[in-house]
Amino acid sequence: MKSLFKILLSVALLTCVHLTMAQETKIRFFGQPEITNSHIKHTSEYGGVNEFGQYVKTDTSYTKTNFNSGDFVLFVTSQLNERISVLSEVSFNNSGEESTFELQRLMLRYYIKDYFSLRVGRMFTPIGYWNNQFTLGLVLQPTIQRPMAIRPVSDGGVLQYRDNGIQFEGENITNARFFYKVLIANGVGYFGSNEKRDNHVATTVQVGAEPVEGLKVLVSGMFDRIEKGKSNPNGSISSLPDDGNLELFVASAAYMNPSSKFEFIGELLSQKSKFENVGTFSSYSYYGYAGFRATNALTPYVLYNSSKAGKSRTEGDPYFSPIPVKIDLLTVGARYKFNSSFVAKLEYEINEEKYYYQDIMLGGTKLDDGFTSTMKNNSIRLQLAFVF
Amino acid sequence: MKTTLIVAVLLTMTLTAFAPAEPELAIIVNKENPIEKLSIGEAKLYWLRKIKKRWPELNKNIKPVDRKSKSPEQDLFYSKVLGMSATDVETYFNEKQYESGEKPQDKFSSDADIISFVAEEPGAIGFVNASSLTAEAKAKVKVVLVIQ
Repeated sequence: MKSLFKILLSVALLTCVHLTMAQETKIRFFGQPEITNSHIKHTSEYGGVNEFGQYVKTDTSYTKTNFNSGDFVLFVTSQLNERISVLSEVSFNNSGEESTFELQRLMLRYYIKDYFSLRVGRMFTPIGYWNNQFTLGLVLQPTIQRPMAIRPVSDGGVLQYRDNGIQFEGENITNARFFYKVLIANGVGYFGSNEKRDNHVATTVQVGAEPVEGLKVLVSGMFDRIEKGKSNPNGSISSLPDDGNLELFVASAAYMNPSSKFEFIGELLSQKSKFENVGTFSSYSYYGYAGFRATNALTPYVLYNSSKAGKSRTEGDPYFSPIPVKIDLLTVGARYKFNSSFVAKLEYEINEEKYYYQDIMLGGTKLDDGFTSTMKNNSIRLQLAFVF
Repeated sequence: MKTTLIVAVLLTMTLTAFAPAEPELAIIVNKENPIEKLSIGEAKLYWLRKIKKRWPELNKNIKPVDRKSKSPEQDLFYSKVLGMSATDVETYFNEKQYESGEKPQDKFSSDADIISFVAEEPGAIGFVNASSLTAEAKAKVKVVLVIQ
């Protein structure tokens, strides 16, 4: 299957090179530098287990100020002919002493009808509202950071936010403007990696409607496979205990109408890791964003996010987080849009993460009591997002 | 007192005479387009490519046409047809382009350029000052809506 994707991608790229010569191409750059001041307090921070089988815990507290150049994104689109367009997005980042370069998207779109078109290549996974609407072009995103619930696995979240594959989609179906997307792709952890040696593909399905201008309601589901022995995508465990399946369901509602003063986005995520022999584990997240356009330029907003890995304090999710965790994050901020190309955002964020460590038992003897490790992080963050 | 009143009336009349009148706006499409009339709501949805990406029957991509810089015609179109600010319009097309690579609106600096583009491009839809539609221009494009 992966070979098929490679062939399709190669054909698509060659077609693009040939057709682009006579086409109008749009090139844009997105930039988003930011500065953050954080006060972080760890209570009973986990520091391992000593030789007596007891937890090592420490309390720490510190303040830090961090300048970050953010992602610099080169974004190119071209309408090759009436029905074929191409899009590429490459990000550059310089954090600390390391510079990174990453191909975020590279896709060819073939438009047949409003209710049926095709994309091939590397693209955003059609899971939820936010993931397709706002990603690296932060001048378009209403907040500085994504809600915790929909951060990608690389940032400790649950989302496979982009993948290589083929997508069928349609929109503007009936007066209710129904739309759908079906992505067949490599799946979790296989961004074209050579480790993939089977025919398994991940499927993501999204259906929704826009019954009123600006109001979108949609549901999405991702069905993927978990492979024994692999590390989980956020790297918190090195070896998954069993083969199994991963299911992620997202229910979303968003009202983002530029003619309206009020805007809202809410998403509810439910993830199940179904191991063949070990059992089924669940994680839940939800967030709500609301903004009020006080003037044409100024929009104060609030974002609340809650995430929980595992059914209870005693049971984590081997895929998402083996240690049961509960995260609450409240952000209050304001966005000032100088124009469509330059936006400043200022936020105050209160983040509390609780990790529940279990009793240490050895042959029926308790060596140490379980405990709750808490991390509180209060931050002020300023971001200047622009596009040119 | 009487003199002051007369001066005030004359001054008001003079200022009114020189105040810029709101232009009469014509929404135009290519002559080949079988669409004859559009309501304000339909013009908005077609121009934003919201209900369709291609013209029904014509089978061509809808190509919205805009002014390159701020003008009375653009102000009127944005406020009366779209109900959006200039920043919102730009953001809307930026989002469309970012999400799916959709080409943003074509922009021109004069009514003559817009008429010329719409005349040549079967899928185009644009707005011009109705007074720019001379008999020669009217022979090239089709007026589907007039806004006063």
